[in-house]
Amino acid sequence: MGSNVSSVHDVPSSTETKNGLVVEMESRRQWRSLFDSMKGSNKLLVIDFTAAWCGPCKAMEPKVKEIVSRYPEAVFARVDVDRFMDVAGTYRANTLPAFVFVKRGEEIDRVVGAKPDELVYKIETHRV
Amino acid sequence: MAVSGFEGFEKRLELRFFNDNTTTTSTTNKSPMGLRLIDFESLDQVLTQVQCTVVSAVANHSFDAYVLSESSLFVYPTKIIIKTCGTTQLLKSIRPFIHLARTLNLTLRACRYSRGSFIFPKSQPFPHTSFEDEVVIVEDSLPKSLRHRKAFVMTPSNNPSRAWHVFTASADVEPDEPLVVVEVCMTELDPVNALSFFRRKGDENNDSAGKEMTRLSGIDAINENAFVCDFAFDPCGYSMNGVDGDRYSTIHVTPEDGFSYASFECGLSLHDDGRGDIAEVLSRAIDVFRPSCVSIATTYGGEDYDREVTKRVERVLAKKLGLKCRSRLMDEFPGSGTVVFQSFTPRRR
Repeated sequence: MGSNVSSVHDVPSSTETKNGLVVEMESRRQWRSLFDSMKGSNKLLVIDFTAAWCGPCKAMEPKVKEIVSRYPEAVFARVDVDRFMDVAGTYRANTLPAFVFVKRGEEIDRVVGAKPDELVYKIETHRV
Repeated sequence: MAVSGFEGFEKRLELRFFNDNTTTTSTTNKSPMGLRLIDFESLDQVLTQVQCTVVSAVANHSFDAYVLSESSLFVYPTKIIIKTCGTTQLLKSIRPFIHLARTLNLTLRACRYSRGSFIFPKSQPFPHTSFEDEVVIVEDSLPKSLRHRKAFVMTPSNNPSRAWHVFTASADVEPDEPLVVVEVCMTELDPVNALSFFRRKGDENNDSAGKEMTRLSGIDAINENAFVCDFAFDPCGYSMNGVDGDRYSTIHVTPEDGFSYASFECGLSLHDDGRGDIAEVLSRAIDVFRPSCVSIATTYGGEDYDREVTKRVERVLAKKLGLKCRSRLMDEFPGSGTVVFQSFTPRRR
């Protein structure tokens, strides 16, 4: 699952992230690049685990978009658990949606479920 | 007992559909998605007609679980369970759900509507003013292909005001549901236990308050395997959906003295190695609330009725919680199998 084939249009290793938007992970290379690039900084990375079969994830999507736009200093990466089964496995993302908070490569917190208020509260707590 | 207050007793609707693999298979998930393909906007529209909204939700490989402003909604590939309390118009969801399923080429196979007796029956809007009226409305919403129908009120002789109302309609007489469904209704909750379900100063939001209530009340210990999606209402009240593989559970609490109520429902198998036997699970759930009045309705579905299970539940509740079984009724319903309705009160008041 996930692509190991490099393409002409590969994103350079200093991964371009779109501030205030959720970045959909398209390849393992992109994910690794993003994850590694954030290890060195104190920036908050929020991994948004979703799946095609997850109704609650779709219910939450518009709220996530709105919340993310308010915190451009944090990086939000959307990971499809079926396309990236190993990443989902590493973070035990079985019950979705799951928002995993990572700083310097370590998980520091998570929100499981479509809980916008809880998500905002934890972003506020961890963004510094 | 208060003159009027929030109605905790829920109305429950279950719709089951025939398995049709041809158009509903998702390429990413191993099993067909079926009803889970219904887009959220459409679900939300149905809920608006019922007069409730989604306050929290989770999903896993097997099903989607939504906590509503007035109870819960579960969406499996071929089954919908919706349970609402207060004065909601649950039956208005039947036609829209059937229609949405039809757009996915899913045909209705069976319907079950059940409820206890309302604490404030006069506060209910039509058709919930009487079971007869409810049955007329449900029947009217169902296709003729559901030929086998039965409506019955299971009334305990010792307490006729706490009856169990069941209507089933099914394409086949034989039940198709592999899980046993247990619905527990509790009233006159211990006031100290009920206090856990009031919001406190300083708790951050409804989600974190809900999480605290789950922990403090011991609800997280009922099934330690389950992920609990909880929510605390303002100024009081609590709801949770439990998710454990393909098994669901749900708890709803109205803690106010005078009309306090709590419900516990779960789908389980009687042969659940290592998952905790039914009597233990029920005992743990009821112990959270220490109610003075409990009723348990068990729908066996495709499982054969086992008298030993019923007796074991009675023994365990008597031994661990001092609850004496005051009535036990049993009946058969097409498509749903055996339904057993027991009521309990403490051994010494």
